[in-house]
Amino acid sequence: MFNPQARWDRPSFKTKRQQHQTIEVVAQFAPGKIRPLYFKLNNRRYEIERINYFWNDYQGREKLYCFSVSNGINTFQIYFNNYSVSWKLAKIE
Amino acid sequence: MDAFFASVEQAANPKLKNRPVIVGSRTNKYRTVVAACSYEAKAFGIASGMSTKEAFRLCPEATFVPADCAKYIYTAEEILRLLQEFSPQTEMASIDEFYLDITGCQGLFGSFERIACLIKQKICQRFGITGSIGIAPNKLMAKLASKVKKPNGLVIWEENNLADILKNLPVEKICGIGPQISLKLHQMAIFTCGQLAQVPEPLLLQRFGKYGAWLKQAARGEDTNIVNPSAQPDLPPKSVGHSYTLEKDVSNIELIQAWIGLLCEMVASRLRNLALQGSVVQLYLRGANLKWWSKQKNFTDPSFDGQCLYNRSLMLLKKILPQATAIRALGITVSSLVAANHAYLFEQDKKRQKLMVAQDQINTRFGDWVIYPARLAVIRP
Repeated sequence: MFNPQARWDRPSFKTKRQQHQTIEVVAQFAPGKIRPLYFKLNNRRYEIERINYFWNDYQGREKLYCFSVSNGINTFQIYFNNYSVSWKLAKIE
Repeated sequence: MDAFFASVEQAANPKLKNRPVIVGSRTNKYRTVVAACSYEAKAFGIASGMSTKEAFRLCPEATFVPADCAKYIYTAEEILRLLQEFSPQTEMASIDEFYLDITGCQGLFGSFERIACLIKQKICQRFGITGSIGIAPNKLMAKLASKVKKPNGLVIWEENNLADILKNLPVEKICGIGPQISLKLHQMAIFTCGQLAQVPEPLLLQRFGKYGAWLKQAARGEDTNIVNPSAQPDLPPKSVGHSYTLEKDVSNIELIQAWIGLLCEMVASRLRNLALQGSVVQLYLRGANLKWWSKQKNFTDPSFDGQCLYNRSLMLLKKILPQATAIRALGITVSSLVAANHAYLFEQDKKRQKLMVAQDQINTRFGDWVIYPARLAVIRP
């Protein structure tokens, strides 16, 4: 069977995650589920109208719960780090 | 899955929906190849494997998205999990291709058609992407059927109809018959599977060796391969390599050496992960004018040490560099792989081994490239 980790998960030249901005997020945690509801960025509150996509990534032992979310105008990529218990903004599209 | 990477990106970013999207493997959109493209981009003639330069010539308004492998791996693994709910006999053939043996599943889920519709519905609900499904008596025919109607297709072929379906099908449509074989078949005036099925097997064996028997079977729609749900790869790799197209052409020797060093570390890290080491090192360079050079050497002792591979690569670089000026892309491949299970005799080798183990442990714990040799500092972001 094909192993996607072996084929695709090679060391890559990812942007340093330290550069990502820490944000405050209000989220709902249910068993096996995280649902971000809104976040604060530069003292402005952004309501999350829609979670477009959800996936997991890893940074060493740290698991990142990644979300592509929309507030009706913009799409934001945010993630929750289960090790540092913090939310970060990866990009605005 | 249909245009898998591009579909995932469109699902993740609604602004990309119904737009021509190109997913490339690098951040510089003019110096990479198309890893996947949306159906809107395909309408302009863009195809996977094409240079992005050519793709943007065909469709200047296309949106370029750098590949996000974590997103695709997660999606593929989740799809595998979803498919396993329908049948434990599920095989992941590639990151976007799956085989399911649904023999006997009708009692649980209904007809084959209903099972396929349920799968498509669940994937669409969960990920917002589509897939094309082919249902046939074996893997070869199922793959062929899945390609007949794309995107979001469903094609069901039954055993008693296969001869009619294959009769006028061009031989090159069969998965496993590439351009070289189809050219040879065309030279024998064989253009369709129907014609191939009529050729006496001894003649095919004479022309194509053992492969001739498979050709005959394939033309009749027969395939003995079964769905293999084992997560174990069939065979260990024969070589491990990495290549990289630089953001811009580089002629500074120190930078070229640093890039070679980085690729050597990446190759070495993967070799150690696989518990393999290799004695043949190949260096490949592509110049700014797209001319390429390659040198390889078989060294007596195999290695999985990045420093050792780097030193060996520099020996090869000295032979190439007088011919090459500005470098566009470069690659390192290590082959003649053997199991890395011997103990070290000399103290300095034992120390290096300990250093590599420590380096791997730190990177595994804190993330890739948290620690790396200082010689790479000039090119790390």
